[in-house]
Amino acid sequence: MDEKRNKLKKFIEDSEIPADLKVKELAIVDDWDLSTPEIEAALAKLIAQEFDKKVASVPDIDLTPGKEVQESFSAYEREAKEAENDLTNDMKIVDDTLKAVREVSEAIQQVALEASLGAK
Amino acid sequence: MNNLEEQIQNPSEVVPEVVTESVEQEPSVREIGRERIDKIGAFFSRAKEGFKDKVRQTGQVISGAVGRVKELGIAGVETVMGAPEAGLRALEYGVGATAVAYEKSREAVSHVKNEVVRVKNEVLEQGASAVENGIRTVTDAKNTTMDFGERALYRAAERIAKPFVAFQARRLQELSARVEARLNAGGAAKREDLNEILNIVTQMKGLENLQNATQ
Repeated sequence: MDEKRNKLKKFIEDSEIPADLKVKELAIVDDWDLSTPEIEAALAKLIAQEFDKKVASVPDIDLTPGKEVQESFSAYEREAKEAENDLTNDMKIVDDTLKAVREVSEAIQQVALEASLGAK
Repeated sequence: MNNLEEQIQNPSEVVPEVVTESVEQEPSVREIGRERIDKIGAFFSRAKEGFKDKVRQTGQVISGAVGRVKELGIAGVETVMGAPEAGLRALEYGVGATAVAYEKSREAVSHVKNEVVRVKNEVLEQGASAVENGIRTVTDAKNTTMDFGERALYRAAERIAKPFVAFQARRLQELSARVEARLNAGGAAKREDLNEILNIVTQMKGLENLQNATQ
């Protein structure tokens, strides 16, 4: 297990939260289909959902976001958009390079086939 | 679809609540945020799956070429059969190494692409005598590209996760302060509810601190 994942696991185990939430969080950390940034986002989502459930039981709370929250949401949106654009460009590089690799592999296959037939 | 993608695509409880009494005909920030998060989750999922498919497909084409080259009895090509397949599980990187490794990996892909173009001309011009080098070049290019794709996906997830956690930490802190103020003012909130809420806020803040400490 990597260093970051280990720290997240220990952090959850040491947290003072309901046992059922802890179980769900540890399941996310143990999911090896997820990289550590994905785990962090998934944990944040889960913790926020639990929080919202608790706050919903408290009457008459103003849910309108303040300035700091609005700014942090805008920062999230902005960075997510940039990350999406950059990943689009990166995946284009990946596609183009792998396409070139396939073309050369097919050329090699054709040359090898011709040489093989010629040798018989 | 993995857990994160499912969760990002169902963001109903994670975007800020906004009162829309005066602009009912326009979408609220909450709705805009939900649509945005849906799009990111769907996009990330498509990028990940598309990448895996392309790597698998390329690996199969290279294997086909290796099979033909082996028929020629060229020594050494067996080694490429042991080339790693697509990284189908999450990569994990050392602390602080992500950005630097991503940039290096991006440069490496540019280099191998030039090599692939060069070796294609060699194969077409020199025929069988160039195929062994050709196989090695395309295998190296596939592995280098695979490494770059995985790092690019990791980096994108990291860039999305960090401000997302920060946003949630701010939101939970703000709302918990309102709950606390209401309780102190003699409202209907219960002390035990507040304690549970504060523990959850502490955990979110701790997650943010841990994330910042390990990036």
